[in-house]
Amino acid sequence: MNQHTFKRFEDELNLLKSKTVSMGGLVEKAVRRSMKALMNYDQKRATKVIERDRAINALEVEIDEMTRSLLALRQPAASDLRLVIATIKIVTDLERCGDLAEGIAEYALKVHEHPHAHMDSLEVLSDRVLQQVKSALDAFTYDDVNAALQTIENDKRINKQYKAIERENLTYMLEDPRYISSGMMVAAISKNLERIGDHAVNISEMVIYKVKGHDVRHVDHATAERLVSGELDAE
Amino acid sequence: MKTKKNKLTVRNLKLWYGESEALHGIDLDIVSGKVTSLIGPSGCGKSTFLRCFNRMNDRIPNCRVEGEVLLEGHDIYAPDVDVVQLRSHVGMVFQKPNPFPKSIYENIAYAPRIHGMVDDGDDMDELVETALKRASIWDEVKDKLQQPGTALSGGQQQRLCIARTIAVQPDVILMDEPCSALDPIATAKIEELMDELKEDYTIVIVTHNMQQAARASDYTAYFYLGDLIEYGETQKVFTTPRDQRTEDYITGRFG
Amino acid sequence: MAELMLKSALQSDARKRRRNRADRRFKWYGFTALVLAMAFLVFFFIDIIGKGLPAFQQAEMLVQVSYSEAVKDNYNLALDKISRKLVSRSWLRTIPMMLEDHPELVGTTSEEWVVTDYHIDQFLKGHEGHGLIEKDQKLVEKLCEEGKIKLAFNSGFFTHGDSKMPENAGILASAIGSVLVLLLTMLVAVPIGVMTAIYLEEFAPDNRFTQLIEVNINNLAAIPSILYGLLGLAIFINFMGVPRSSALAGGLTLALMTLPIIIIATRAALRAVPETIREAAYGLGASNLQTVWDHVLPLAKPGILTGAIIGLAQAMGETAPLLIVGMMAYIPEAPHSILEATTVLPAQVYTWSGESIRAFEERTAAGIMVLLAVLLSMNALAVRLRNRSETNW
Ligand SMILES: Nc1ncnc2c1ncn2[C@@H]1O[C@H](COP(=O)(O)OP(=O)(O)OP(=O)(O)O)[C@@H](O)[C@H]1O
Ligand SMILES: [Mg+2]
Repeated sequence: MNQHTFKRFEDELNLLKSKTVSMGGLVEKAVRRSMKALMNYDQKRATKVIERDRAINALEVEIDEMTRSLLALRQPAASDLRLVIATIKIVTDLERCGDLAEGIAEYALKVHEHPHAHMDSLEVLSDRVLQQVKSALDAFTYDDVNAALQTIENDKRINKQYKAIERENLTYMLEDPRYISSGMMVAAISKNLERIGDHAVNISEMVIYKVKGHDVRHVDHATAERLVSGELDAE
Repeated sequence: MKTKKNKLTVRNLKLWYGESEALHGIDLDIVSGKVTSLIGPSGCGKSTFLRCFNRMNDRIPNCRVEGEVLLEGHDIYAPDVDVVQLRSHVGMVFQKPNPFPKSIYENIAYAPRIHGMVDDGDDMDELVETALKRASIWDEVKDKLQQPGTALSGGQQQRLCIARTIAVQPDVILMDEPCSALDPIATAKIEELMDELKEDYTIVIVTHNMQQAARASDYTAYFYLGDLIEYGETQKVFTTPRDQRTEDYITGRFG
Repeated sequence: MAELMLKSALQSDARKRRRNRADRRFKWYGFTALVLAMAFLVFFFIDIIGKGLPAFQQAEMLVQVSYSEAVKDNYNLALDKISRKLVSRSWLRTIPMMLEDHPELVGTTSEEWVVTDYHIDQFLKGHEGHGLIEKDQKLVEKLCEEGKIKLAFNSGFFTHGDSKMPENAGILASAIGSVLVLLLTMLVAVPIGVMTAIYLEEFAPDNRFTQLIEVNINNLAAIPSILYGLLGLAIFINFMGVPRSSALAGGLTLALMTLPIIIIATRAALRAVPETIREAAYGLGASNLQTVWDHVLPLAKPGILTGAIIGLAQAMGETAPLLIVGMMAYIPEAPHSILEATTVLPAQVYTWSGESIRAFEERTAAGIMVLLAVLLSMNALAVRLRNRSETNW
């Protein structure tokens, strides 16, 4: 793509994107660290994650401010407009992810109260979700529509696994009522992870909107693929 | 959804100024009752294309046209077409407001008179009033109809020119950068006016103001070096243009 | 750095001083040239007015005229011996004719103020070389004291045609000739010139042929005017058989000369009408003719009129081509039709300037004054029209 004739505008757009990417990086880190704190019963690490959430919130506010001024002063059009719109939405998703990671970190502070919790399956789930967040953010960074489509598709597996964990957890709790409080914790954490996965999907959908201009939020995967490849027109 | 009716149909339109080809085979349908904007960098042929619709290019020596321009199915370049008649169906508003150096009344009454639409007298008074009201300038000029049209402000002059054009009751109104000399308020008034007028007229407007094309038009055509690059609903062209050149142009990436 | 440059730029250096000197010198040259031109003009005006003003006065003498039957045969008998010598012979000669027309006057006497002989006129005005003999000088001085000879307004200058006797010579015939010639020039040159210009500017295709015509018209405006005389002689007199020296021949010849000027001026005026006005009219569906007639011409009119007036003013002052078509002759009678022999004002001035009698000199100057007055008022009219035309569109 050509350079913007107005250099400052170009710089501002680039800055907006890089800020969003670095916010994504912070969120990814927060998720990973909160899970690590949880698995290792590491309270110190958990506290750090909670503290760091403030930085994520501050970035959200900053990026929102930038998008507002871009809209008001530059009247972006076409791909520039789509970048700004996508950023507004992605930032909200990232902020939610940050909150969810903070929620996990808060459980990590109390996890020692549940020494018998069954958390192995959570680790598998969190690895998958982290992978999703990472590939969604990469798709955003490199305008990679195929990666975005793949991320959306992969979410089905996460949902499946989440259901499995839910069932497994339920059996533990039915078998032994002592597990009930730790089971509720696991349920909440897996719910958080699953929601983070959903946000990764939202981000991927925005990537597709940003790059192709198609809204694939409420269509099935096959239609989305055909839309993206240009086989199908939007109506 | 109502089926779209095409007012003007352009097929493989080529135009030469002497030896140099200014339009390289344009195909385009202008939808009836809508505002269509033509955008593109300077010298890409927007004005040239616009002036094909009322054969204003006929006045330029060595200018040659090939291809078809159909007004409701009738070829306006057919040998038996009366250009004078054509221009009473396809009116034009120019970039620089150009009222005749005559009274406001006379500015409006002139064209209906030469076309024998009404006789001078009460009928003409009524027609003048209607046209001025239609162009939302009646309140500003009703007390000074006998004063020269050139004594009005730029924005008023341009609305007077629009009133003069609609007094002939054309089907199509062509506008070549009608707001380029006007302030935002006058511009807004004219855009508002176009919005009202499109109920009865098909409007084609050339503009360099991207926002204006976005705000005021239903369809947008992007021209580049004498070619029609992209044509579609304005909303689509401005959010998801199909062609990279359009994209670059409307986002402000000029080579 | 930038500050330093600015500072040095503001300081006056040698180069700047040199430049200022050159400026001043140039201003001086211009001023001197202007003063020189003004001096010539003032000198010319003073000279002409000084010489010409006396011509508007004329010596008159109170005489006893006795109309008897004998006067019809010998007009000298109408006056006493002394008066007879002093009055203008041209007046004396008219008496028998007058008696023919008014037989009832026969047998009466009357006291009348009569134009004197030009020698007396010149003597009274104190001009050198008046040619009055010593004895008559005394007599005239005495009559002056008695109040029987005086200088009065010279109405004859405006009511008489040319004459060999200076005291009787006037500009009426040539003025009427000028008006006739000018009218003819206008009637022929203005419509043809304007129509040609409109055709070339608004209707003609832009091709080799029209370009050729254009170049030729521009060249025609520049050729010496005497050639138009030759052209007029060839076309109108020899070929078409228009009478020589007639107002028609002169008018047509001058029309030929004025045509390119009017065409060029009209085209300039048409071209000055903004293209946007034409576009506006065409855009509304006006035809070619309607556009030109309703919109372009009204805007160009002041310019066209200015051009026409300047062209006519030039024709008015022209002599050379008229020389060739025979209008530079001694023609004392005002013409009664455009086919009769006529002279024009500048030709009259020219004729007088060649006369040997000194008394014609002041009439020459007076003629020039009248001519200049007419030309200046025509030019003033043109300037007024041009100023009026500066409307904004
Ligand atoms: N009368 C003419 N004679 C020769 N060439 C012309 C004439 N009018 C326009 N052109 C050429 O045709 C091309 C298109 O001109 P046109 O006026 O249609 O451009 P445009 O898109 O309206 O530009 P702008 O936005 O500056 O008004 C240009 O390259 C121009 O040089
Ligand atoms: Mg143009």
